[in-house]
Amino acid sequence: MRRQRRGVLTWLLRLVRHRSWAQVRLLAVAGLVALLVAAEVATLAVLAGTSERLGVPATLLADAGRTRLTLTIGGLDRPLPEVVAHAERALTETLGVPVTTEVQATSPMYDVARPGKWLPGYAYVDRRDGVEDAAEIVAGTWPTSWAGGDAPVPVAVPAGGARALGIDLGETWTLEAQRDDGTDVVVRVVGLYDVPAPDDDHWSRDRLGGVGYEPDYPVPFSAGFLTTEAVGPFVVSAEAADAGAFEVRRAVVRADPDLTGVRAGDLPRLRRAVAGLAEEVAFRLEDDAGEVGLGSALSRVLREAATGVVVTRAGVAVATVLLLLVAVAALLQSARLVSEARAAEHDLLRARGASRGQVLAAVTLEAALLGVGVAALAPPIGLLGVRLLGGPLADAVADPLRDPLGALRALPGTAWAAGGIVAALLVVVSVVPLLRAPATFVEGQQARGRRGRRGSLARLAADLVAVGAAALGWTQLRAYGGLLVGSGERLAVDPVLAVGPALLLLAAALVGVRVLPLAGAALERLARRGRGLVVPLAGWDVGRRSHHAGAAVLLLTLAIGASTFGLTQRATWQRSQEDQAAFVVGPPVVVEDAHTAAVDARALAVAGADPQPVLRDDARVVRRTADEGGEAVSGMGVELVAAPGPARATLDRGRLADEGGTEVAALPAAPPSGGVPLGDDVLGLQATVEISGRLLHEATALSLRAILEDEAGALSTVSLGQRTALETEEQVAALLPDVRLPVAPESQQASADALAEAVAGRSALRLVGVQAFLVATDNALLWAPWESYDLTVEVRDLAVLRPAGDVAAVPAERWASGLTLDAARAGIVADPLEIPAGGWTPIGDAMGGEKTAMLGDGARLHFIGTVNLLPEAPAIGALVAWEPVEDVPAVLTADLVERLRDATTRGFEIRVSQAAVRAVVADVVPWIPATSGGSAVAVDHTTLARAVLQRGGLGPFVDEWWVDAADPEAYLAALPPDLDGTPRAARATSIDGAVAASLEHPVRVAVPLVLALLALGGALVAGIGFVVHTAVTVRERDLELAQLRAVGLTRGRLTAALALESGMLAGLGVVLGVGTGAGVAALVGHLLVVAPDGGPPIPPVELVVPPTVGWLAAGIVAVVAALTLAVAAAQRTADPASLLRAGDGR
Amino acid sequence: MTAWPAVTTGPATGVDLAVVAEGVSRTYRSSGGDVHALRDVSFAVPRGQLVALVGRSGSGKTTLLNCVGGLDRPTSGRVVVGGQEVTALDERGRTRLRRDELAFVFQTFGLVPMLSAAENVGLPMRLRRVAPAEREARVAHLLELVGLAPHAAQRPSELSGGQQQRVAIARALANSPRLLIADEPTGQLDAETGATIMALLRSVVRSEQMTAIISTHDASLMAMADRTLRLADGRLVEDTGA
Ligand SMILES: Nc1ncnc2c1ncn2[C@@H]1O[C@H](COP(=O)(O)OP(=O)(O)OP(=O)(O)O)[C@@H](O)[C@H]1O
Ligand SMILES: [Mg+2]
Repeated sequence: MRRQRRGVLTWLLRLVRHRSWAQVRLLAVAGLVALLVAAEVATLAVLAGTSERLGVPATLLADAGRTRLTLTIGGLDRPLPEVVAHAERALTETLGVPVTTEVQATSPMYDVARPGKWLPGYAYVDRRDGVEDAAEIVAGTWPTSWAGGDAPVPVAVPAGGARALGIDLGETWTLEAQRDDGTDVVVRVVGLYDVPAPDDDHWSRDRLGGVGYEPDYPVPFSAGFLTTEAVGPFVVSAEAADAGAFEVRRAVVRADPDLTGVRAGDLPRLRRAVAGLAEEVAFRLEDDAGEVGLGSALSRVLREAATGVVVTRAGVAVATVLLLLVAVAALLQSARLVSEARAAEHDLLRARGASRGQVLAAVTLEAALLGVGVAALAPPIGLLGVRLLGGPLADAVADPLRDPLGALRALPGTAWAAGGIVAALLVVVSVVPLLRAPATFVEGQQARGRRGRRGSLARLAADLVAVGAAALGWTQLRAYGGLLVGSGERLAVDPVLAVGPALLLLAAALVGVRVLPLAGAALERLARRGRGLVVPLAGWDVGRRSHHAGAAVLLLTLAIGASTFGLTQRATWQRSQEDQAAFVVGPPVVVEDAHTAAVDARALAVAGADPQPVLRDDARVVRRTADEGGEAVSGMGVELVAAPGPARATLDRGRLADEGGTEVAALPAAPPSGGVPLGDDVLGLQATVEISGRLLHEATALSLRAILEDEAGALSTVSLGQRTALETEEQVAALLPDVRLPVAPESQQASADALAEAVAGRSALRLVGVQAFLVATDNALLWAPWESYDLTVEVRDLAVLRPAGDVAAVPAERWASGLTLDAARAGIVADPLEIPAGGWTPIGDAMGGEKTAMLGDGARLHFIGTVNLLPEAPAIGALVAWEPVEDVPAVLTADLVERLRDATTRGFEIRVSQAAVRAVVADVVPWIPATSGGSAVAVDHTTLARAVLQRGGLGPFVDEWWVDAADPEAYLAALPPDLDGTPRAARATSIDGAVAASLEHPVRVAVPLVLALLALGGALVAGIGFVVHTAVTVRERDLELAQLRAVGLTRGRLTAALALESGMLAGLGVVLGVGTGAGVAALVGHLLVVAPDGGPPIPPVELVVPPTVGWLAAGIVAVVAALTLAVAAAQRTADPASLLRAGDGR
Repeated sequence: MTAWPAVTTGPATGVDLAVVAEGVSRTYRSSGGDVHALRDVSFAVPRGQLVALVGRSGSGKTTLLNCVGGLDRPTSGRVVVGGQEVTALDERGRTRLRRDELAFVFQTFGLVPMLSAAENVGLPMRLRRVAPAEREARVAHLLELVGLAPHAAQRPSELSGGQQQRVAIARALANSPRLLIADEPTGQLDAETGATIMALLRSVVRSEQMTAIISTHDASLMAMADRTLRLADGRLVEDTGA
């Protein structure tokens, strides 16, 4: 029994070897196609695996700030240390990863005495973990322990604030509680510190943003019109805070989860945990604190990582299914050709008595042997493929040439599975034609002669099924709306999405191939009427042997279609990434810089660039109510882009122009202003202020500001102080907000240098206005009866403060206590201003017209009226050197217009920079570039700034600069570091940089590679398939060709006829393939392109059919040309005599 | 079509000669050594003669016909057909010769399987770019001639062997060749059918005033022929018309 079985096996093996030898070339081609596709699919698997392995950590670990969890705890019911411990445990247990924490606890605001000032200063006390790294001690030490009880609490105070309030090292101060039930805190100053980088994340939750001192800190209930000096934080040690040195108003626990070990597979669980984290933590801390808030971008980061994984997987799935479809078509072609070529042989075997099962077994064995080879070779080749592709992913896989074993071991299981699947396909496809084979020898002989109606009916049915399935898939996919990633439960790719493109391609190709008989028929009709033979020969062959031609065209269509889909999808994907990056960034380069205009305009003007000041901020849009009272009923948060004309012009380009850029660029620019030039070495302003007339109430103050404009057109204000006293003359002086005088200069020379440096590289300024407003300083006024007032403010002897430039003029002893404005007076000259009387316009409801005017050396503002001085509605007056702005023309997004409803016709208000300005709709667009794509408003920068200043707003109006750099890279390289010495380029974003970062991100970088591989695989299979088809059919017809030559057909014409035939088939295949491939990409391609967070991209995906598709077509033409040459060469050597002699007996 | 000029060379000077072979030898090189398929064969066929070429299997009949028809080239010797020295023509010239001056009929019929009988017959005329109307008229005439008018639209696979050979004969006549070369035209047919084919050949050769060389094993053709050439081992051993 055993022996016998072995006998059968050896027989089969011998049979296989024997038979294979005859058709070895066809088998080799089938094996080659299978290996090619298997290796490609394995490459895709390795790419996807590597991309996930690198991309997930790269996304999660890129920016600790984004994965940080910020737990804000207010109303503490338990001691700080206990609450913090509970919070830590809650986070660690819920997330399932270790968490490191830093605590910042802050006190309420305390009053601190300011001798000689009518308002006290403000101060606050903090525990700040990690402050030692975020600040530098300039005198004394960081506080350590606290004795407790009544002992003063040791604190470190910001040096700038200490100087301003006259606080010195070693002094003891009392911070008075502002609330009646509060406790005063007595502190002893043990250290003075400086914050080199206030924009460090450490200071993001600080009241003063890390600057330590704010001369214009808004007084509560004055809506910012009334300000005082604030200083802080007074930093105490952690132990002191834990021991209850001060009342904790709010604690911030910054928790950094350790995400280094997180893999793609952990993402769903982690996302679920983060989704419920806020609730879970609040629940766990219920007994510890009154309010618990959790702020974090972690869920967004996780979503981005998951999106990256799913997008790559979806791309791989789609490409794999398409490649498999093409592979099946190619293998079917080879299998059919092999089985046709062998039909006689099989029949002979069967005639000799081999059973059908044995023939089947032989073929299966043979296919299985090939399949094993394919399955074993494909994964290592795939690995090599990834390394050949280069880039970050290539470096991350082991080199199979240097370390073969390690590389094999590191191969993902999916790569082996890919090889196995293709091998299995190879076997199935080889065997299936035999299963359908007729049962007996005679039937086989007969079947080959006819092509029955049943066959064509079956084909029609198959076509209909494919079209139906494709239609079903298409309707399913349409319902998607472009969202790949759901709420995050799974990372799986929807099977409909994976199979959809392949189904659509197959259906389109099947329908397309039905053109072939029609084309043949048309040619035949031509042939019947024509004289020649070349065209008819080609036509006859295409029309009458259409099953051969049809199979070839189908394979070509599928392969070229898959390739075109790959190329088109790749170009579309890349273009969309570029469009998205450009949309978010806006101009070629954005430099974030919140410093005031005067410093930056010149510092950023390097490499020939002309930086433009831009305000990109959150604003509120308020619609007016129906009754004209103007009471706001509803406000909605929007993104505001306020940019000057040249900056807006950069949006009127390419895709941005279509997505709203043109309309934004078309907003009218503000007309130029007049004013008085101040020069480019301005340190500050000085004036004499006198108020006369009748004030409404004692608790009323008048606030005065000068309005300046820089070379770039950016407006800013300088406070000239707040006055309460009537009928007194007072000299006031103010430095520009960004002028920093050095702490404790070492010498006279250093002092003079410091002053010179403070104005170095500044933009020239102009005085373009004086602004004053009258505000209540006491809440009691809210209930005061309406009264009239009539007062005049005179600002005289206006002078510009500039460095004297004379070292000798600075007496050495004046510097000892630090360089304050008063102390520096000797090194500064006050340069009187001459102000023209004309060109100024008074503004404000409360302005008494004719008395308000510019004087030769200053301004006079006359306030008159009976207005109650609600903090939101102070009496505002100004003299400005520009045409007053009535309504600000604004471009709105369509969804904002929708939300505003009828308000667009009635008018609406934009609230920004503490002012509400009236606006009108200039245009409505779907999106506004340089926003995140939601509700947004775009306005002209200067127009908005003027309108805000007219309404009493303060600015600042610049938080970033737009640079239209021709060569962004060169520009970024030329950018100097900022005042703190940090490189500005680090805060700059260019479109090019954003595009590169987006395309090269490990989580996304695999997608274009996958699509390129699909394109390559399709093109190769198309080429191979067509060569095989041509070779086999020409070989099959060699007798026929010899007969034609015997009849007198020249070699040239014969070659021409064959070339025409190939050309027709190839042409049809290319047209159908490119058409269906691009069509499928147009139908479903956009579903595979998403924004980083998985949502639909903005601007929407636009189909890009790249020129490489032309190269694909050219490649196929080249293949046809090469085939024609080969056929011609074969005809030259072919010997018709011996072919004819052999005759039918072959 | 121009009349053939008289052949001035050759053994039978003064007679209008259609085919002249002078010392034709053909040696095949094969792995088992040289095969001398033809050895120094010389003969001349005057215009209008129907010649039967006979000999045992392997005696060189096909080889000789191929050399005369320009499908093969003799190793040495000279072949002149209708005054043109075939052996001196290049590939292009020989193809033109086959197209314009002579026609082949094969034992295996040599029809193009995907074309109907009528289209097969029309092939040679397409090679000469005959106007479609003229072509169709002549195809109809020729199919009538060979008695296949009712089967014009059928493909070779739908015709019997005898019918296929008639189509082949009709196709051979399409361009009114001066010389008809038929290699065992009845080889695959039964005796009766073979006889009718031979009769057909004879009648068309006579009616179209062609010269014909027909190889055969069939004794009846020998009887019909004007002359018999017999080959044995590549040598011309008998020439009844010499
Ligand atoms: N291509 C070739 N290579 C080698 N020998 C060949 C070749 N073609 C023919 N021969 C040999 O030349 C000799 C003549 O062959 P040919 O076909 O002319 O004979 P034939 O008389 O037509 O025979 P049959 O009556 O069987 O058709 C034979 O011995 C044959 O084996
Ligand atoms: Mg023969």
